[in-house]
Formats: sequence, C-alpha cells, structure tokens
Amino acid sequence: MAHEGFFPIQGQPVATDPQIVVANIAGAANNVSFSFVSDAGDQLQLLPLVQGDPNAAPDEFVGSPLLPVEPFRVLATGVDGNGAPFQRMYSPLFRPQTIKVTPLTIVDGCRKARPFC
Amino acid sequence: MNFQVQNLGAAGTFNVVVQDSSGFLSSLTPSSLTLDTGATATVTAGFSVPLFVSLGTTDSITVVATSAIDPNFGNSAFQALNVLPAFGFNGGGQRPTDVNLFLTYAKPTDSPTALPAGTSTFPVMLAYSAATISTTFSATLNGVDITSSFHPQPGSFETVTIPVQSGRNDLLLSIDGTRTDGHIATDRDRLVFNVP
Repeated sequence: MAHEGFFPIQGQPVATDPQIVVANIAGAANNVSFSFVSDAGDQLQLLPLVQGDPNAAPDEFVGSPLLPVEPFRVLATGVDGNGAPFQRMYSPLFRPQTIKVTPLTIVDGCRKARPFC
Repeated sequence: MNFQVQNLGAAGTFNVVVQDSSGFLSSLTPSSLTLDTGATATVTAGFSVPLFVSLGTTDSITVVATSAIDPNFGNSAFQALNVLPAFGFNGGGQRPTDVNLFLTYAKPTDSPTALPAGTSTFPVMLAYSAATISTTFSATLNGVDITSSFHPQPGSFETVTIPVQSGRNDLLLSIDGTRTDGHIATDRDRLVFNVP
C-alpha cells in the first residue's frame, strides 16, 4: 500500500495545475480563516481550508483552491486560546509559474566509475 | 536522467541549469530551449560518479528552467542521487553473500550482454575481493586462455579490454577465495557477449 499523506511540491506551483494547500497552526486557535495576500500585503482572495481531511492530521487545514496569478503569501487570522485576535503571515512568497519541470526518470542511484549515469 | 520542461505560458526561450551538491554533473543537453505555448521538451542531464566517492554520498540535484528575458519566470525539479558501489554485478551463482563476490563487475552489468553490430572490443571492469587467491585465477575467451591479460591482485580492480567477434563470445573467469566460514571456494563466472 502506498504511503498516504501530503508532501510539499518541488519548485514553485504551476498556475494552471490543481493544488492542495495544507496549513498547520501551532497552539490553540479558533475561528481561523486563511487568505492569499499580495507581495504588498493586499488581500487577493480568500483561501478556504478546513480540518478533517482523511489524508491529513486532525489539526491540519486542507483545501484545493485556485491560485492567484500573481505572487502571493498566505495570511491566517483567528482568535487565540486567550480569546485575543491574531494575524500571522507565512513569509515565503510563492510565484505561480507557467513553466513546469518534471523528472521523467526516477533513479535510485548511480554506480561509481561509470562514464555516464 | 531526463527532465521534461513544459511551457504553459507565452512562447519564449528558457535557460536550463543543473545545481548538484556533489559536482557529479558531466553533461546537460540542451541548456537552452525555445518553446511555444503548451510545448514540451526533454532535457538530459548526465552524471559521473568518481570511484573515490564514499558510499552513502547523496547528490542533491535541482534542475532549473528560467525565462531568458525575465528571471522571475522559471521553475525547478529536485532529485536525489545515491552513490552505489561500482562493482554491482557478481556474475551470478548460488552464494551471493560470499563466493560470488570474489569477482565482481562494473562492466558488464549483466550477462548475456548485447553489443552493437560491428563491436570488436569490450572493456571488462572487474574487482578482485580481498579474499581471493591470485594464483588460482584463470580466464578463457571462446576457449582460448587469456589469463595473462588479467592482473588479479586481491582487493584491487582493473579494466581489461577483450576482443569480441560477431556471434556469441564466452568469457570464463575463475578464482579461488576464502569464504566467510574459512573454507576455500571457487567463484566461476561466465560472461556472454552477443554481437549481431
């Protein structure tokens, strides 16, 4: 049986490919919502993520959004365990691309002293 | 190692580079691609692992394709390449954990080996394990004794180029060695080369 679960993609997301987004929140949080924001911090669109995906941990938020066409970050807002509102930004800037690089051959290894592998 | 580059945007030219952590990259073809919208192309990266590299070494390989006019447009793919022993073919037999390892081969990698029409020589790259007894070594090619072409020093390896002819070529190699239980045993390998 294959190992189930979600794994990070290689490189940058491809704008036209279906994507699965998985988010983790450390610590107690309620009423959490996510959104895509631009490099400048402006909201681009909401990012609907929910808990309970069978291939994810119970506390992970999962969704299959359409990606913005422009570079984006992910913003989470909600209420922490003390009832105080919070806002957290995932700092890496994602740049949806229109070029895709895919390995065609899966190679476990390369033997030493071979002229070509 | 082949990678597919697909352009889902406007037609353009893309530069391809390979970053590999261990420096094993030996070739990259092509390093520049011009792709129409929706077009794909295959990039081939070749790697050569030197003999002195430690087993267990991993080469982290990232292939990056970037727009020739705007470096913000590009993407990448990652693969890890593990270094494997050079002499991975034991010639076959019944005791792969010891006797079959007296003689092991980097070339050929299997037997029989199909060679292209017109091939007249083949470089046999073999290793003699430290357990071998060099004076017991013998080699015949199509029934002709070619023992003197080999230099079977225990714990060493060498490349010996043998002549091959059209049809089937049988290279028989034999050497005694000390098994893991202390007994002496013989590793006999028949390497077959077929030339159309």
